[in-house]
Amino acid sequence: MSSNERTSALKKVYWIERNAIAIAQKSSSDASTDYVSVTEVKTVNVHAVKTDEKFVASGSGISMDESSIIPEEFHEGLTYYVIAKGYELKPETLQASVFWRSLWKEQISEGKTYANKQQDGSSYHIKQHDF
Amino acid sequence: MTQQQLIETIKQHHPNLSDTQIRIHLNTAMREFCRKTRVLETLYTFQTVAEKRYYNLPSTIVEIKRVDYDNYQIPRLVGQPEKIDTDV
Repeated sequence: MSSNERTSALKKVYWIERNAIAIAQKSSSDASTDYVSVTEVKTVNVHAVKTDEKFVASGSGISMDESSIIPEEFHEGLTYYVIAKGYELKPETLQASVFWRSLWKEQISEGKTYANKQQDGSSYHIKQHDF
Repeated sequence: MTQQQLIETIKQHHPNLSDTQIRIHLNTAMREFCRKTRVLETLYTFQTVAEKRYYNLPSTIVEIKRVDYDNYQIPRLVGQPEKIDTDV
């Protein structure tokens, strides 16, 4: 890839607005404040965190006989949230709701640990710098 | 576990909850779990169009970690540009 392509690409910026991503480039007339739309066809890769499709009775989504793509050990954890919600409906079962809510929070915590581990088992770390 | 198995597990505790109510709560749980744990990552790719600024994102995306333009990482603009348009 030529240095011109590199220079051109590095003039681009993005921002998020109204559930859309905006791609623009610094204006050659006033690079400090003004941004204009790009004039070329290029590939944009968005690295993102996503949620799974919705559970559905029929149609597009996770049907009755399909499973979510989240790791299998967390599937049952989804039920903890719903069970807690169910127990919140009656004052006499609020204590049970607190118990199931704590199990749900535990699943969230374990999920964060799972996501931070790489495939080789190493964990995410912050690189230190001298100032 | 399939959706059917999840619903059956929940109904052992709450037999009076309808499938629709359970499904609404399961979808809330799924979104909260994915957003808080960041366990599912994806790469969404599209082509720019000349003079087009805004590109809709899939509703399943909950957080953007990095954006590459022509295979180079580009920065997120801090704030908003002075001149905006409303073509999205």
